[in-house]
Amino acid sequence: MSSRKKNILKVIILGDSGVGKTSLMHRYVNDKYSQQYKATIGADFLTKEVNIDNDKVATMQVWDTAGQERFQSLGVAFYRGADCCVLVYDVTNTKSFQNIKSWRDEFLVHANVSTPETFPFVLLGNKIDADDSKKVVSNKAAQELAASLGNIPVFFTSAKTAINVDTAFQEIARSALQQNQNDADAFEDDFNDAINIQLDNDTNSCSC
Amino acid sequence: MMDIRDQYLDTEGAPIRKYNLRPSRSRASFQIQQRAKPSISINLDNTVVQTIVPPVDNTFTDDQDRAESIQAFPRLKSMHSISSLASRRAARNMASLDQLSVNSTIDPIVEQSYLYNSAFNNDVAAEGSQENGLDENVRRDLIERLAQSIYSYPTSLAKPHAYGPKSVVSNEIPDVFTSVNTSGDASKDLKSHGKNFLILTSAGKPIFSMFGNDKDIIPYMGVINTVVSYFQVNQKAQIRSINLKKTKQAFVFLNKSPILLMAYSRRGESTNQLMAQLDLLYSYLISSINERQLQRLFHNRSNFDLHNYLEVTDFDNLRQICFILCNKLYPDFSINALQCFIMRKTIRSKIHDTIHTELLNESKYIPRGTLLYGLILSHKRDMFKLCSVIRPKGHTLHTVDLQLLFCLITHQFANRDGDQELWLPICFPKFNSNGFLYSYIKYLSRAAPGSPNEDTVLVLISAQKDAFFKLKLFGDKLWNKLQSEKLGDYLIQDRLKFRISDIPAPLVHHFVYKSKKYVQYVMPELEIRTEDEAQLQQYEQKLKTYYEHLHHSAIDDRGVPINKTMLNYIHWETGPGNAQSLNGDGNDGDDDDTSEEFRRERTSMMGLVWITPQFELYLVCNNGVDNKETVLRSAKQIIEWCRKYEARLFIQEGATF
Repeated sequence: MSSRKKNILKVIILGDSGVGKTSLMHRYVNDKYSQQYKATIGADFLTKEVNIDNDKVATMQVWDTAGQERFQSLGVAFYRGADCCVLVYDVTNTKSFQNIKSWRDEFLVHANVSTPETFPFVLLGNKIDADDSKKVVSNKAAQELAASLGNIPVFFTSAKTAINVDTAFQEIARSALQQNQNDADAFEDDFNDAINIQLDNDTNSCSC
Repeated sequence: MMDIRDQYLDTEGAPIRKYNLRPSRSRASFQIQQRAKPSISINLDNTVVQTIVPPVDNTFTDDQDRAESIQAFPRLKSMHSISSLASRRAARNMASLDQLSVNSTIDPIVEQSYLYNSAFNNDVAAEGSQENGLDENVRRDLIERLAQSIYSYPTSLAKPHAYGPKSVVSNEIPDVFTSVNTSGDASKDLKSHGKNFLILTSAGKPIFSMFGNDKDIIPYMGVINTVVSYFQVNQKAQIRSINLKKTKQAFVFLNKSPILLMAYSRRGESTNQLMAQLDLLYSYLISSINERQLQRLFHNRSNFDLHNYLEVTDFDNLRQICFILCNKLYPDFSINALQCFIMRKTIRSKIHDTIHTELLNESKYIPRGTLLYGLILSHKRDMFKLCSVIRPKGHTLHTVDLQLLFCLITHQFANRDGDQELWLPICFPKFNSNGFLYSYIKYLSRAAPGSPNEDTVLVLISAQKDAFFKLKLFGDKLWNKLQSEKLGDYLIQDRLKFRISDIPAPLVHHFVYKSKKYVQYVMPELEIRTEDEAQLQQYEQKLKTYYEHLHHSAIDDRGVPINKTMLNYIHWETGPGNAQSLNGDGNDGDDDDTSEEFRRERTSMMGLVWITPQFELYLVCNNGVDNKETVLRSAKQIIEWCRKYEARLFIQEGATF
């Protein structure tokens, strides 16, 4: 644990099965892409050091969750204590776009965040490298959705051709750090925890 | 999933399976050889006597052989040992034989199992027949004299073969345990460490790890979090441990939401032992931030980064505790008692009287209620001994609280010079986990490096935040008074020490005796002549592991002694060139793939655990000892000796006010 006073940012990636959550993460962390599709089981964990606005360093702990229905029972555990939530849909898949709102609601229900209104989400429309003929979700629709979810940032990305991935994750890290610090500021230390002790009664005594 | 859980996972929801010593399910039969006595458990006037000898040679034989070997030989053998025990007991207690309940199959405890090759067994058989030829009395006399004579051999780790081939009874103890790396630096590959502790938040954010850098550790934290959550969400249970028998890896989890702790070990420690170690680490965290504060920090902020909130010293202290847990012979934690510093009864009571008088005389400077608790300790090589206690009548502090305080003291003073004083807020988790007490700490003396003396420390504890000057004044006056009464030197220089040879207990290598009444223990000085810290550590490690096994044999899975009174013998045996496996009924699997890890040294070690409502005795015999009666007699001698010198060995009352 060499890195003292370095924030650890927990980032959750959510979205339907096959929208490219894992590919996005691998593109970002390892700058690699694999054509082969392998469904995530449960969750994947990756870490990356991030430099935010060139002056703050943090460690991003990315929790890449499984999109498949059967892993959803674990969601509760994954969402707890997240600093930022990334919602991913596939621009060639209408269903995945329609489900974004329910992913967000699901997250808010289980994550137990202190201020749901201001909790940072980032919306990513993935696979924009696809032929225009295959794209079924318009950028306009995405921007409208983002606005309706509380003006959350939206990015159109491609894990395959590395479009916008770094930019998106920079924004994700910035939002996460902001959230982390907001929470820290809201708290005031109070060390007035002295114990009242009366020596003449035995209530504090220990049995051994 | 269910299958896996049933086999390997140990959750609070599911009943815990103890493996039977004898792997009766999977093999057709076992040929039980001369030395193989089945486990015996005898109930004699409520004292359970257990003899635990690991099963021998699980080679296949046909059914006829099996019937023969089980029915004829071991039965006879075990009856012999029972009756010899019984006759001794009968003489004293008039217990008749039909009151004995003999159970030769139940053995819930020992997880070791062993293999011998047939050559070795033949040797033993030959020896056995020779032995039988000797007159029993002559034989016993010889053994007795041999046992007495071993004290003329100096213990030497430096020259293990100085006396030629190993004698039948040697006073060196061999290492029968896998050697695993624990002292390596953090930069090494994570997998190379035999043990690791990880602490994280319930959100999966890292707080502390004994080994491993952030980048390696963070993904593991996520996995740990997922595993624990899986059982919480899907099974409504708390996972306690995962044990992989083949690789002998154990993962133990402690969920103290918002904190999660996990221990990893390849050393064959039990779940319960690792759990206790995790609890200690958690207690340390609480001692530093207290439980109320912790809940407040995480309230509505499950993303809180405790790692950033803790101080550098916290990590140092945690690392220190981990080091002690992994590498030191430090029975304090495992048997939950404190070691006390030996002192003549008259001197100890004089010191206590002086403290008491001083406290009364100074009552106008230090009003009643200011001082809650006071201690004088001695300290050497991270080992603490209690010299004196000042406490209010009817109040004591829990040993865990004191152990945490001791750990803090070692570390806080490590790089300071002797004259410095410290005012330390500390939460005593077992006393009150929601608030702080304040400790005034001062070194009364510092031993020069290399001198046999130990450091002496004064600790005064108050519940008042602003009592520093009052306590400091009292501390100074007290120390001046003790010195003017010529008692100071007893605390600094004239240390009584004892060695195992000071007690007429033949065949015993080392022991730990705990007085339950005083929650204190004694053990003889370590007798190895080496200046080499690495060798010393290796020796401590070895003894520590023997004691861990002994302790483990006496407690159940929840850390409670199996019986209020019990007497266990444990054997550790290996033959030259034989594979052996420890911990886990390795007979089920293929032992060959693990044999490389073990030292090939001929070993026959015996240990004893004796627990009664008054005391606990753990002893390790010299290599080659197999005479239980002599060992039992030695154990009795030790107990008698400890009782006789009770007033010297333990602090009985302290200065109470």
